Amino acid sequence: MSRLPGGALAGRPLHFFWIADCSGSMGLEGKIQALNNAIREAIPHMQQVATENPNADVLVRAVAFSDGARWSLAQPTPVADFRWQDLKAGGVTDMGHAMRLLAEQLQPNLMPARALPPVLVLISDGQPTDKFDAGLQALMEQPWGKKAVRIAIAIGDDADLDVLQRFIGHPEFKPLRANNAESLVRFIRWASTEVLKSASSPASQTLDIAPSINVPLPVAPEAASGPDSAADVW
Amino acid sequence: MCDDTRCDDTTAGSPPLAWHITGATVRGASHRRSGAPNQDALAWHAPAAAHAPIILAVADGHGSPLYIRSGRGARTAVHAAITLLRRFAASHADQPTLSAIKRVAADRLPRDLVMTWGEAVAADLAAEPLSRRELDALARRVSPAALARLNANPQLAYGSTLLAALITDTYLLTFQLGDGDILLVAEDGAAAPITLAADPLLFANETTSLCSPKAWRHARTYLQPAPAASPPLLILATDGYANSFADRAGFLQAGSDLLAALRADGLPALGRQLPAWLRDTSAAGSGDDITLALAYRCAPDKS
Repeated sequence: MSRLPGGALAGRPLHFFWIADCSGSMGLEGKIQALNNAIREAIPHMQQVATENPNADVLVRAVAFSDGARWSLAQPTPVADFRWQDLKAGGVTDMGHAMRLLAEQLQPNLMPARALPPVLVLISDGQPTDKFDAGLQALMEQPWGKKAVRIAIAIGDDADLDVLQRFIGHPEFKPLRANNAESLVRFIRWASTEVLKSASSPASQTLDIAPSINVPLPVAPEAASGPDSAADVW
Repeated sequence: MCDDTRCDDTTAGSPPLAWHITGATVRGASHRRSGAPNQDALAWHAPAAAHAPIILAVADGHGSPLYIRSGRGARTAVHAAITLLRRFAASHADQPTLSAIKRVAADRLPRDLVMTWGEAVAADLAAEPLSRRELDALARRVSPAALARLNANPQLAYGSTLLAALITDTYLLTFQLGDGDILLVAEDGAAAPITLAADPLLFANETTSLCSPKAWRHARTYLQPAPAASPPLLILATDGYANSFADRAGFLQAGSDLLAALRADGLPALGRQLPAWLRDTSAAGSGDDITLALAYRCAPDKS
């Protein structure tokens, strides 16, 4: 036999979701532009990590929420082809709706059993204006939602840390608090490289040692020491 | 690990058949990149004596950082399986019915295997406690809470799955704790899992484990009669193999292809080829360690 036994081989899919707050307050003090810049800047680093881990097929999607929620990148896009479309701010903070959109896409019939745990990165500067708990419940009712690596980044002091903590759902991990553009860049870079790297490895572990952490998360970076001027603080 | 064959000539009028055993364990592509060792293990017992039981075992030590001695845990697991299943075969040879053997296997084997593994791990820890160096290195990779869990229960460091099979003249018994696959390949090449029900707990990198609390609750045993017409190929595989295929059908096709290769080229040739196949499969697939154990049943001159 010259070829390998079995059917087609493939790396394991790893679905990576950006979940971005586009409410009106994100338009203040350049926050939405800082978010756009930070993600765009992280892309080549994300692609490099994916190249170094060829056994994971990283597929990127993005959800934006304000008045309702919508997919700003609906198709699971190979990270090599991932381009960031600038988001615009305006409206309220329907974070719960975003949770429900995610829940729909994490149903078992849409996620192969061999997939690696998905990574969900939630970025928000405010408080949900819709039924967040119901949305979170819908997400957590999905087995892949419950097993997802959930990272939350709070922008500024008005972000609802309690909501973000409930999204993370693990007492050992806290929301990352970005009070300036430099910190936001640092956290988004970490989520899209170090977290992606950990999630890309087939590192199994026992499931019933509570609290569950099915991907060993790397240590998060410290926030940037401080902006150049008080005007740069969110 | 040993490699041998034995004749099974219990069916009057049919040509003598023999079980031929081979297998391989390879370090995964992602482990090679990261410098991690092969944390899988493989062992089998196939004495030349007629009517002696055949035993195969594979194990997959957990890859997450907390499980710093999982390769040792996997090796301990396969050796515990060989020891205990040999004893099981000898102890229950005189059971009146297969139902009685099945009941004993389901009732006692999981607890006995978990406890035997735990005792061996405890002895290893007593001989070589977790060192300050190991713990310091780990502290840079996991949270303080995770480190505290390990300090409270050092056996976690050895966490592993275990899949094993015992083949006697009268029955085939399998044991599974954690992820991985046990396949039977029929005469016509059709491959199927030995049990149809998938365990819904085993996904997203998480598995039941020998180091879980009351781990025996998660074990699954299966027993079927082993007449002359039993399937010609039994495969035990760690999950790095199935996870390398784009879909489940591709994985099952591997069972069919392995049987075809055994029939075409014979066992020694396949045994030589297997490590390279598994390395290539890991590189183009899951990146994980892969271990296969195969029991192939045919006439001795066909091996």
